[in-house]
Amino acid sequence: MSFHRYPLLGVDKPFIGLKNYIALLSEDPYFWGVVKNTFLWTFVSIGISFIFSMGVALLLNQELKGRNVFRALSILPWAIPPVVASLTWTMFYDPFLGLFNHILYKLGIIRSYHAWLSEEATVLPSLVLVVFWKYNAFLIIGLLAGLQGIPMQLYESAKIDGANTVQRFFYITLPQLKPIILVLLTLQIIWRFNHFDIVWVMTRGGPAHLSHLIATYAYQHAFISLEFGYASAIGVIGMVFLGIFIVILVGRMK
Amino acid sequence: MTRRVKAILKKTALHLSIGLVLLIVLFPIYWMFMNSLKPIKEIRTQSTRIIPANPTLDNYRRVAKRTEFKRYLLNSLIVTSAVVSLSVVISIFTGYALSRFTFLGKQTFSIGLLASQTLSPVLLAIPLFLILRKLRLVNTYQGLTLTYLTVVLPFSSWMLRGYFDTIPIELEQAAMIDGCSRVGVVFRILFPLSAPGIATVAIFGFILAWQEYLYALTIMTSQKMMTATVGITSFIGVEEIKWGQMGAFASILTFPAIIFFVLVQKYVVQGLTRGAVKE
Repeated sequence: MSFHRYPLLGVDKPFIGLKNYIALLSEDPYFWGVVKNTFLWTFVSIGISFIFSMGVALLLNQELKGRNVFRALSILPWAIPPVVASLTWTMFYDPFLGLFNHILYKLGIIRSYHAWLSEEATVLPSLVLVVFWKYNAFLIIGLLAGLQGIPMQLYESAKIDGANTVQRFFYITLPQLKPIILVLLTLQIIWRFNHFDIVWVMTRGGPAHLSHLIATYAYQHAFISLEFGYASAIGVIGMVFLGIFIVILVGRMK
Repeated sequence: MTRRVKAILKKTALHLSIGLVLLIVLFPIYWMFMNSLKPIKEIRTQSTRIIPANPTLDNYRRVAKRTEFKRYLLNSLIVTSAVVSLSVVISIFTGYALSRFTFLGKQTFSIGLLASQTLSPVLLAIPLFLILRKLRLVNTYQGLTLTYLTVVLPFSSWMLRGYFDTIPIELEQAAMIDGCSRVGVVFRILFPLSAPGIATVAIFGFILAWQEYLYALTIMTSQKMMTATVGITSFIGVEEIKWGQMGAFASILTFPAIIFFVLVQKYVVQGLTRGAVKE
C-alpha cells in the first residue's frame, strides 16, 4: 500500500512506485522534525526511566517491612488506562487549573505560569514526563527480578575484598544484570518508539505539528487526511529506522 | 556512630526514599480522584486544593444520568469479556500445540509470534481497517474483538507454551493410557497446574481490552459503539472541558483496572519476569 496513492475515498488507487517515499523524505516539511521528536522521546524517557527505576528497584530489593505493598503501589501508574493518565496529566498541566504550575511556582522553580502543552519548548518534555511516569513499572519489576537473581556470595566476597557500596554496584550488580537490561531495554525501545495514545490524547501532535511522533503523524495522514498510501509509507519508514537502530544497539551491547 | 544507630538511620532513609517515590508516583492519581469529588465551582476557582472543601458526588450523578456513558461502559465490558474468554481458550490450545506437537513451519511460526510484538500498532491499523471494511466488521463488536485477539494471542500463546513446557509429558501419557482423550488431558491436568499462567493470560487480555485506545478509536466509528476509553475524551467540549465529570468517569473506568491489578499483581510480576529472566 505504501507504493500506491491510496486516498480512502478516492476512486483510483494507482501504483506510484516510490513517489510516496520520495515525497516524504524530501518534500514533507514536518517529517524530519517528527523523526527527531520520536528519537528524543524514546531515548530521553527511557534514559531517565532507567535511572529512576534502577534506584527504585534497588530500594525495593532491601529487606523492608511492607515491601510487597510498596512494590504494588509503585507500579500502580501502569494499571491506569493510558487515556485516563493522559487526561489527568492534561489537567495537571493546564495553565489555569493545573497543579503543576502551582507547585513549581511555590517551589520557586518557575517565575510565571506556563502553558506546558502549548508552548514549543515545553511540549515534548512535558509529554516525556508523562510517559516516563506511566511506564516505569515495567523496568522496576524487571530490574527487581534481576536483582533478586544475583547470588549473595558475590557481594559477600566483594565486601571481604574491601569493595565499597559504589564499587559493588558497578562491578557486580550492573554486569550481572546486563542480559536482563538488554532484553528490557529492547522491548521498551520498541514500544516507546511506536507509542501513540498519550501524545494523541494530550496534544494531537500539536501545537502546529511540533509534538508529533512517527506513530501519531502516520495516524493523522491515515485517518484524518485519509491518505492511506502516504501514511503507510510513514509507518514503514518508521519501522525501518527502528529496525536499524535496534540492530545497532544489540550489536553494541553484546 | 554505633552500628545500631547506623542501621536505624539507614532504615529511616530507605523508608523516606520509598515514601517520596510513592508520593511522586501516586499523586496524579490521587488528584484525579479528588477532582472528581469537587463541585464544579470549586474546580474552577480553587483548583489547587488537594482536599476538596465540599466533597460531593454530584459529578458522578451527572455522569450516571447521561446514558451515552453507560453505553460506553457497556461496550467496553462486552468487548473485554469477549476478548478475555476467547483469548484464554484459544491460547491454551495454541500453547499446547506449540508445546507438545511438532509440525511443519513450527519454528517460523514461533518466531513470527514474537516478532509480531514489535510491529507498530498504527501501521497495522491501516490494513486492518481495510480488511475489516471488506468483511463489514467495522464498527462491530466482532471486529474490535478480533483485532484485540490479534494483539493478545501471540503473547498469551507464548506464555502458556512456556508454562506447558514445564509440565512433564509423562503426566499426560499416563492419563492417556488410562483412557483420557487429548482434550481431556488439557482440561484435567494442564489446566489446574498452569493456573497462574492462565490467570496471567486472562489479566493481560482484560487490561489490554479495557484500556486500549488506538484500535478502539479507529474501528468504532459511531458514538453508540464507542468503548469507554474513547468515550472519555468526549468530555472535551468545544468550549470547555468538563473536568469534574471526566474525573468521575475516569475514576469509574480506572476502578476495575486497579482492583483487578491489586488482586493479581503477583501473577503479573511472575508472568513478566518469566520472559525477562532467562532461567
